Amino acid sequence: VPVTGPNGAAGVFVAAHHSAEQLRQIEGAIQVMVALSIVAFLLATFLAWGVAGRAIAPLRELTTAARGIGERDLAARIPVAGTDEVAELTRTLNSMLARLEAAFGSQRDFLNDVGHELRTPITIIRGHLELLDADEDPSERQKTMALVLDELDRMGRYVSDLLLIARAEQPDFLRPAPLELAEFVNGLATRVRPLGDRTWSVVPPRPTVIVADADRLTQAMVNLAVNAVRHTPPGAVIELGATVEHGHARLWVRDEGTGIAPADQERIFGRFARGRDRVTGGSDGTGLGLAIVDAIAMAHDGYMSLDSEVGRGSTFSLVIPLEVVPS
Amino acid sequence: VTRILIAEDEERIVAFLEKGLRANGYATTAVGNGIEAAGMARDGDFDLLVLDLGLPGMDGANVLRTVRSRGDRLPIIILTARDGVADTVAGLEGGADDYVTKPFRFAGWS
Repeated sequence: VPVTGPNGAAGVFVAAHHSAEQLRQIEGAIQVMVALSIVAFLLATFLAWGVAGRAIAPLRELTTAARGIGERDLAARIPVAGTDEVAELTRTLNSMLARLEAAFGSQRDFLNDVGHELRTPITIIRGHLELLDADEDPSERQKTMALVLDELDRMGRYVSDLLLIARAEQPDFLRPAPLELAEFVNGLATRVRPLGDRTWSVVPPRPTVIVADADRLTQAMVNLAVNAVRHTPPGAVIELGATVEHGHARLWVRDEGTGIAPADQERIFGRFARGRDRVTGGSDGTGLGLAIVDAIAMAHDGYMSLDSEVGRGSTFSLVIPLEVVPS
Repeated sequence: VTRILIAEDEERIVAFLEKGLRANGYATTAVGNGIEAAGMARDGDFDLLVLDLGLPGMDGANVLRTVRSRGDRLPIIILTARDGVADTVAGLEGGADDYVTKPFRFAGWS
């Protein structure tokens, strides 16, 4: 900076500042900070990864375990560890597996039963045809023919029942329409009377309109009535009725027959329960009657219930909502 | 005459068994439940028992056990709709002499 004094003397003021040292200090500080930041970031990342990994580890184990469970080893369960949400999820999955296992099991039992059930008519037809002799008395031959045709009809009915049960899970199985329940129950009287020489009695509910499939409900009630006839002697009381309670309609068939032991009630109640009786020459003795009633109840979003005591008789009920919502 | 006791609850199976066996010269008697079968096997004078496993009253396996526990060596052929290996083995170990699974060819019998 040029400087002029009061006496004319002139000079130059030079100011010099040596800043390299400070710059170096600043740079140094910045470098330390950057280094610290990087270390902190790496540390944080590492820790987060570790923590997340630990948190996810049970999920990963769950995935591996779930993937390992195939259709064939539904009996396997995922080990439950801890008490957190993952443990809860594991327990939920395990109970779902248990239900799946039970469902597959009852399907397998059902197929097994179907196979054995079909073997009986096949054995009968085979045996009688094998012994059919060309030299035999024509009337004997006629008898064999009639018997074979009857057995084939039985097989036909059995297969129809099986197909009906299979179809019951399809959405177009039901054709729901408004139905006056008291009228419906009264109308059953003429349908069940020919089933057997019993003291039939009908107990209609107060007039109530429900929405349901009248044909399917008739079929279910007739099946229950057939079942009641099978377990009662001639003349015994069989009562059909309906009640409306808690937003549900309960349609029931009560008999004063042999009743069902608690252990057998359980069996009958299985999804694909099958009675052991085979009524030769009977109209519907396929043994699938109750399974069909159950399928019809389920199609109506309802269920079947049984109240029975050995020696006092049984009441089978079909409990359905007042209005079935088409699926 | 060889006397055969048939323990089977399905009448129409009994019908052709009796017809076929009688045509081959055997004498047959049929019972439809297990309790009767066990009693007849003891009291009757039979040379063979054809035993269905799925009998009412007392099932075939129990009839077999009952007969054998008396030390009775009456030849027994088991007749069943079940064809599981476990059932077969249990039947034969229980003292059955042979095992026939329904449906069967009658021709191989006599």
